[in-house]
Amino acid sequence: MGVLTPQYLRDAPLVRRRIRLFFANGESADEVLLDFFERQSQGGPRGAEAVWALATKHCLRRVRDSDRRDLLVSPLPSDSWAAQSGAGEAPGMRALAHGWRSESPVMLEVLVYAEVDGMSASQIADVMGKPRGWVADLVRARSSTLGA
Amino acid sequence: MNSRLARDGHLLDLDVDALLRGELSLEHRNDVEGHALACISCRRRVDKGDDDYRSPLPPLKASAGLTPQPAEPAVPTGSPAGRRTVSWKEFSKPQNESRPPKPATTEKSTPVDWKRQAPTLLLLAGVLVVIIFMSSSGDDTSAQEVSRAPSTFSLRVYREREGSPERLLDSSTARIGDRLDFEVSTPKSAPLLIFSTNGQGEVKQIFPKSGVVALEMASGNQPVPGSLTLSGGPGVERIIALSCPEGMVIAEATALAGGVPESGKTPSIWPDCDQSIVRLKTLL
Repeated sequence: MGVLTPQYLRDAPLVRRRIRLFFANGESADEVLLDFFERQSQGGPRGAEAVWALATKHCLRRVRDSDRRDLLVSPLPSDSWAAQSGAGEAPGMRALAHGWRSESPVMLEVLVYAEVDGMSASQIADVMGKPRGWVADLVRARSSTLGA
Repeated sequence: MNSRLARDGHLLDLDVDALLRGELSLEHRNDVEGHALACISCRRRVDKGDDDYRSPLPPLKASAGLTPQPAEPAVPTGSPAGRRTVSWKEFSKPQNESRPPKPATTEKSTPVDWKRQAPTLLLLAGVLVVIIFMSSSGDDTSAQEVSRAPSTFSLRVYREREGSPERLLDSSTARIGDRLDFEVSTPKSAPLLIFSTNGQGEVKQIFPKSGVVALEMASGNQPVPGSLTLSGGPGVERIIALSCPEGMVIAEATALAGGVPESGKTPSIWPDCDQSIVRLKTLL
């Protein structure tokens, strides 16, 4: 028999929406969702920002552990910012799509927030709990690499 | 967070979720809702998100939950955050759409037949008299229910002593190495922050363990996830619990902790928050 917990009922819709950016709907997305809650069953209530960041990290870890080539699903979910803004055609996003495996986990997380979610350095710093300057330096370093 | 829009001026995915979970501060919610009402594509995204929040979830495996409840194989999420009582779609619909149309009728209402209804009315009056009598005799269960809800915000600190929890009141003595656990009583759901600071100004975040803003805690008496092991040298450890409006930034709150005296009455240091402080004299 399956079970529900208050945490699951509260957080699963958000986590599932985040997962859909990285995993196609269906069994694999559900499996990633359940795996997330097996790992995150301890701890008190968390706000949307914290759950969203944890879900992003979880998806990136799962994608990295797989043998797939693409970082994101194609086509992107129609209700995502990336699909709405046409971010898939932006140079930063194209570079990320091809070179994401060579990025460190932290850099990859920052780049996803910047390129896939359209967040500013301040917004990324808030979500990751890091200083704004630290995020800005990473984004700047990446931009100069792309420009070289 | 800072600006609530993505770099192209549309809503962030994160903010769509925060809106649907009912977690935005009033000011940010007004901004996000205002944008969604004015921007067709963002409005569609919020509508789609609202559908997502209502669609069934797969059940968890039995090992994954803290407080399991039996579930059917597919579970409609309904109001997942427990706080979102009005759906986005209900909110965003024009007022005349959200109400069912009145039936088109010209019939007059049926007059009440008082003679036929008299026995029922007498019975209702009798029940009312009994209820009033029970209220005045002090055997009022609803009053007991009310008394269970805490009327003020307070923090309780415990340490384990010979296998059972011992409550430490303000100005108690504790030893370095003691592990402390916490409970809060809060009359209303509100973001909670608990942290400690010692004489050297060192701040330890207890709840939430990390992050930049305080996290919502439901009303009532409840244990706090998170503990503190006293460390460092002898002195006074101030354990501070704050129940604040949404959006309280933790770093801003902890920066004011130096104003808490080592003993005696503490002035209201966080004017927008309810505060409860326990100071412990720490010995080696």
